[in-house]
Amino acid sequence: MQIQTALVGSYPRPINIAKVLSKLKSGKIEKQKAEKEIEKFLNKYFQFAKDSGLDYVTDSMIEWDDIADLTTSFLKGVEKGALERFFDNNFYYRRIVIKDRLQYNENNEYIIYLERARKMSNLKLKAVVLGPLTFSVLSDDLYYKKNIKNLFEDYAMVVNTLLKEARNYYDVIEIHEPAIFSKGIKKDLIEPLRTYYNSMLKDINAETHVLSYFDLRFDRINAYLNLPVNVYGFDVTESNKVKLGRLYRLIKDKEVYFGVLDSRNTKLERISTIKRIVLSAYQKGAKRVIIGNSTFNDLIPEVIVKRKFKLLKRGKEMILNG
Amino acid sequence: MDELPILPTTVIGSYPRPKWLREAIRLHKAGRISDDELKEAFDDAVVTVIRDHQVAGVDVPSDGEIRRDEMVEFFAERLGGFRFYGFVRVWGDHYYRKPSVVSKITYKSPMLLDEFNFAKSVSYTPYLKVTITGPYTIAEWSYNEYYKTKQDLAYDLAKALNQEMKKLVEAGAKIIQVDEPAIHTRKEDVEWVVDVVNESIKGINVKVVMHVCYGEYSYLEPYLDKLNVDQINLALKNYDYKPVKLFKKWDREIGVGVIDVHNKRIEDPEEVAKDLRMLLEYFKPENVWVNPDCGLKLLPRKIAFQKLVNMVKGTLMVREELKKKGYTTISLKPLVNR
Repeated sequence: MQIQTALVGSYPRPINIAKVLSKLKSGKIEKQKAEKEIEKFLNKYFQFAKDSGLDYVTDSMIEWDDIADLTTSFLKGVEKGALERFFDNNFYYRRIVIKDRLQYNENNEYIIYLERARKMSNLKLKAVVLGPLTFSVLSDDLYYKKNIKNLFEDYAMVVNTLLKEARNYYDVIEIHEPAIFSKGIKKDLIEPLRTYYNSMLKDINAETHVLSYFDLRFDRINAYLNLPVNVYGFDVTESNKVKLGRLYRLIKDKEVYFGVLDSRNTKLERISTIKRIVLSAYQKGAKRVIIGNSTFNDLIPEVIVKRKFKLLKRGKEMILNG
Repeated sequence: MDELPILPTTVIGSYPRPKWLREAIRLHKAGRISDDELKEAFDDAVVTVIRDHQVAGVDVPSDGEIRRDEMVEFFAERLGGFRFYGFVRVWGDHYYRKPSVVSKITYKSPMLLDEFNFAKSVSYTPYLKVTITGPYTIAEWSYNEYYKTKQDLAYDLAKALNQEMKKLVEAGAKIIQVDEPAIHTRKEDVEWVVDVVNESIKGINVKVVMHVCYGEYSYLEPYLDKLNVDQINLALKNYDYKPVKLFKKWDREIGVGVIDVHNKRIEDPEEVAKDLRMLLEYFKPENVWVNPDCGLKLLPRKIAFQKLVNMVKGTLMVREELKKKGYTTISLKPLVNR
């Protein structure tokens, strides 16, 4: 039996790094000095990942305010808009305002950050991108208007270019698509997603993980499981726990990621629960199970993130040692 | 009888901390000034805030919530049942200490009494507003490690906050505002949240206001009639007043947000007056209070002050027009028997 662990999305940005970034933005600190502080943080972060026995990590996303901020960095034709609640969390991002046709911004810093992370860690590094549907949900579209399929296609092409340009610096692509299970998303937007995923991942030879979180809806799960990726992610915390029985029946022969650590609550998980979830998935025929946090780690304090990953490590050891 | 002029002007609560107060807080954290010296700085800041409100001509001021770092954190620090693990980001570089509920919520001792008594002692009017974060917002913006459901947690919070509100009434508070900015976060919760808010204000027979801002107001609309508050006040300017139609059937008082607190542009008095005239097509004049969309805390003080000045000037223009039609004052008497 194989059991792997992962950190998905972000790691909480410590206040001292926030201060460094703020000073850098306002020109109160030299870039070199800021980079030194960030590298110091990243060394600690990758050491934490190594000590936690993680198989997959991201670059921590420390320099990005949120996933929308990261996304706007490699896009032309967009601006940052008003603050908006990130799904139903008390966490806010700036809306992506699409003012012109989406194009690739070749002068983006995301690739530089991935390259730096690649040099600093031997763990399997994931490039984090938004899925096309969630991108559209987090955006105010003033350009494509009713022609959302063109928006999907253009976005997929831009992400494809980014992933090709950055190909030497990551092992895995982590696609965040929580909107697929959100309320109010029309079915006709979900069904053609496979096509745009194909465009997004075309000619890229890398392992791909798609992540959903917060909600889980069975009326859309077939479309989700039809996306052309290797690993399908599910948030199995909070109210989704009761849906596990039904979910197990759908993951036979699939590779899955289970967000077992609740990134929205400080309460620590029971190792016995994590163990039960993983063993049940295998008993029901899952081909491979990866476990980790349910969503971005910004939503809980850093000290709790550390405790939760320590617990995950113990859980993994207990599962492997019977 | 307690009366206010027609279209009373008020604030939502928070006001920018003067720079010297921020410096005093920093020095206190560094151990360089004593608790007493910090208290003196807070008291002085309250005097300053109330003076700003007075100069601007606000009818119902607040103490600017000047002693509160954050609206949930403040109460979680003072109620039993909470624990803090550290800071979390809300957006960009803005953090707060999001509390965790780790045991049953208990009311320990008065939380707002001292700040209310001090503000009252330096206020230019007896019609001072006291704000208190509502039970659902505290529950929603905390981690729940203890209660089986958020509903159970919110009910216990409501009972604790009710004790606090009773103490404020005993101390002479005439206007209490329950802040529930999270009330419309989850559609499925709103029905029971209304009961929770009602539980928190049970027996509070002074003017009770509920503040709601930024979010999906339509979730709240079907349950408005069940809310036992005298007034709701809302962020409206930021939405260019689009949600107003949702509240057309609301026949109690409404505080209309005519100042965008997320924008440094200062609305001019004519703009405020024009907006108010439009709003009076939806609501009876005797039901309308005038306020900014939300607390002014995040604005530079100079801008916050000028926004209040212009809000009052714009209101005075419309007030004069209403006086000619026979509207002069409104009563502070509660509209609902709680």
